[in-house]
Amino acid sequence: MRRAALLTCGLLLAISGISAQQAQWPQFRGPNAGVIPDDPALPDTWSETQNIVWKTPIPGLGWSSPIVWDDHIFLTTAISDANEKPPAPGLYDEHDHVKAAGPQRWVVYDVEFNTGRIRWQRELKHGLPPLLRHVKNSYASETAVTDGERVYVYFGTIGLITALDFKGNVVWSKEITPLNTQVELGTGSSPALYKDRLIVVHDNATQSEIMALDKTTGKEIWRIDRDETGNWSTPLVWENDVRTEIITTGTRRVRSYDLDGKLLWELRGMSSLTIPSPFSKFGLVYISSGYPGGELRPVYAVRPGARGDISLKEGETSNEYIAWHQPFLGTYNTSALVYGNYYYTLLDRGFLMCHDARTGKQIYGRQRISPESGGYTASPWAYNGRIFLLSEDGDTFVVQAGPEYKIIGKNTLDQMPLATPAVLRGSIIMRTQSNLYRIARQGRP
Amino acid sequence: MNSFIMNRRWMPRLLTLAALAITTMPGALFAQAPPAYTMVGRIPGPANLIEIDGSRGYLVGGKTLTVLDLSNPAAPQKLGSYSFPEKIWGIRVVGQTVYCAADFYGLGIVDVSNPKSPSLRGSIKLPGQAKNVALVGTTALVADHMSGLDIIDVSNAAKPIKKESFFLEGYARDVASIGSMAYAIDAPAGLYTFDLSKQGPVEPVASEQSARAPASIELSKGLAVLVGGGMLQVYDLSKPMAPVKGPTLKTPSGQPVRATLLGSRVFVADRRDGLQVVDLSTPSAPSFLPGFKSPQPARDVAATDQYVYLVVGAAGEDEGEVLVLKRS
Repeated sequence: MRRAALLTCGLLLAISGISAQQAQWPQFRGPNAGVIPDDPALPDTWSETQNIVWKTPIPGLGWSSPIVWDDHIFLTTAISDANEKPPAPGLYDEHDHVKAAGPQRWVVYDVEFNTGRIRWQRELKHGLPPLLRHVKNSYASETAVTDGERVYVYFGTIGLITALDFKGNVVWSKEITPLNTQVELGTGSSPALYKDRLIVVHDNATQSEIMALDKTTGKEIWRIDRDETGNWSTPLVWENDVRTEIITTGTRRVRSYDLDGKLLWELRGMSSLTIPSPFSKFGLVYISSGYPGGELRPVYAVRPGARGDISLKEGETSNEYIAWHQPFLGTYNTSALVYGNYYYTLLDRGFLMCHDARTGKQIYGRQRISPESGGYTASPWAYNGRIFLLSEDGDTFVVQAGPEYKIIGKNTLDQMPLATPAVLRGSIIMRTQSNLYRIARQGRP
Repeated sequence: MNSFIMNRRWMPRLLTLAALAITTMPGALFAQAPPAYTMVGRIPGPANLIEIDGSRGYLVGGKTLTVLDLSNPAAPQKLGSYSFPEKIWGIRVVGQTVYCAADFYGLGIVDVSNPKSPSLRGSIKLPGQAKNVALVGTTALVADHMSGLDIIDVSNAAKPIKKESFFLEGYARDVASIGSMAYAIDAPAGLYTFDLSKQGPVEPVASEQSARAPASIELSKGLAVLVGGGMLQVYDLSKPMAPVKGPTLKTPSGQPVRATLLGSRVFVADRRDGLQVVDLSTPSAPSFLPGFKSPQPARDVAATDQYVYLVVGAAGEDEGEVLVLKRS
């Protein structure tokens, strides 16, 4: 009896140990907006020669983030037939609007988690991109999403939405008209999955829309016009205490829709370009945008249950549905991170800030991460009491979590990264300009 | 239709400035006898920016700095040039040295003591795009698109050293200096005042929201003019550490791009209207004087007592030219 109890206890502990690990990473920023359950197996340090389990070259250029399901790592890329001007780190102007030097091949990759071997690659289209893009953007910036049966990819530049099975076969494919975003910066809004539906936001300067597709067939369930000119934010399906709703951020309006596409509430007062993706914690949904050259760089923490226009009136910092608001806290490219009780803001120009996630009260102000570091586009992630900040120079700064700012490490890879890594099962899956890495403590299989 | 927006705090200072201007400057007379301009020459491009220093001119076209001999202003001669690997966004001339803000290349220091063969004395790469530079003694202040305002020790021009930087909330656009004071602007709307005579880390002694999306700042004694967002924003710098916002001016087309100050007169390069001239000798009543309608959009302007050099061009860094205009 005692032995049986011990066995049961051991089994429970083992199960507990397994379940504490992040098992899958099915979407952009994973299931918890960049927060990974503590796992002592996860690495703190790495370099080109340390803690690299494998490194696999990925041709072309794609800033989509890797997603992982079991032994499958999915990512997308666009491979040019010509020599394209390489992206440069940093934030800049008058380098915008590049035209492809040649035709591209839009390709989905399945890489083995354990070995880094390319299991399959599927070319979905070959041709000249009809749209221009920002020189730092790519033609494959939307992150795929998976439900464990199929992987769903969206290439906004060519208006292609495709579902593939785990063997690389195309299950269905749907084409929509590719349209330029405002100032022709290219596209980047990733699709979202909820139950039987694939949600795609197609904001552009001509005819913006959001659509729900049947994930098994690609058939359109509903499609709603949107008054927007181009956004790069990924929609969030927010399951809260009141209902389940689809949160979309946008320069003209933040909008929430029910699962049938009916508008529930909207909010004015965003930046002139909207890129960070909404996420939820503590029963709030966090919304932000922050083009540095714009007059507004807001963050809003919104309570569930809102209806109608919940925009703040002049002089207001909160209302019935806006729990708190900061007018100049929004970031340009990165999405914020809520870890523990704190809301961390990684400014694209290399500063970290910390606020109380429930109240918006400042814990610490702007802290320069490194005088030498360039820009930041990848969103931060956290585990084991540490926050990880990946610069466009390939440096990942490790900062202790909590109310005091302290850098405790720096890990360097050779190449420019913009994609946000996947972190699971003791490993970091990190994508740089032309390589995919699995980073794990040495000695792990 | 020109519109002037007046700040009440500005009024007493304007009256003082007006009295000064009327008693000491001939500028007020121009309102009665406005000068007109005749084109007397051309300088082939490419041309984006121009600066004048005595009988020398410095022309920027894309990545290239060209030294001009202006001893015969109507017939400028190209002497020599130096090319950077990146676009030059702004320059400052100090004696025989030209400090160039050259995009991702950073700050380049060019020796023009031999104008026929300008040479690079030193350079420093900075975190973002270098947009312009100002000098206070041996300190260069660079408006950096990424880090804000970079403070560079250029006492050894061969080895510039970055000392520190001050973060500007928006995108750094321009920086200018006068004496020990420096003024930086960022988009969308910041004006930051720095006193470099103060010891310790560089911190602004004043900052405020200003004109919408200023792109450049020009200084003369007691005055600053910010250009951008379709307007000119005038500041009274009679107290250099506490700029006071003055009139906001719109050119007829609302497309001013750069300006230069000569005394109390503002010469404006306007994308649609060519050369626009604003007389601030009576600052409480700024007046537009006759300008010069250029056949192509104006990009930049420099002025001497008798001549105006107007950079024009339709599009692209690889073209453009300079029109030499004589005040008649």
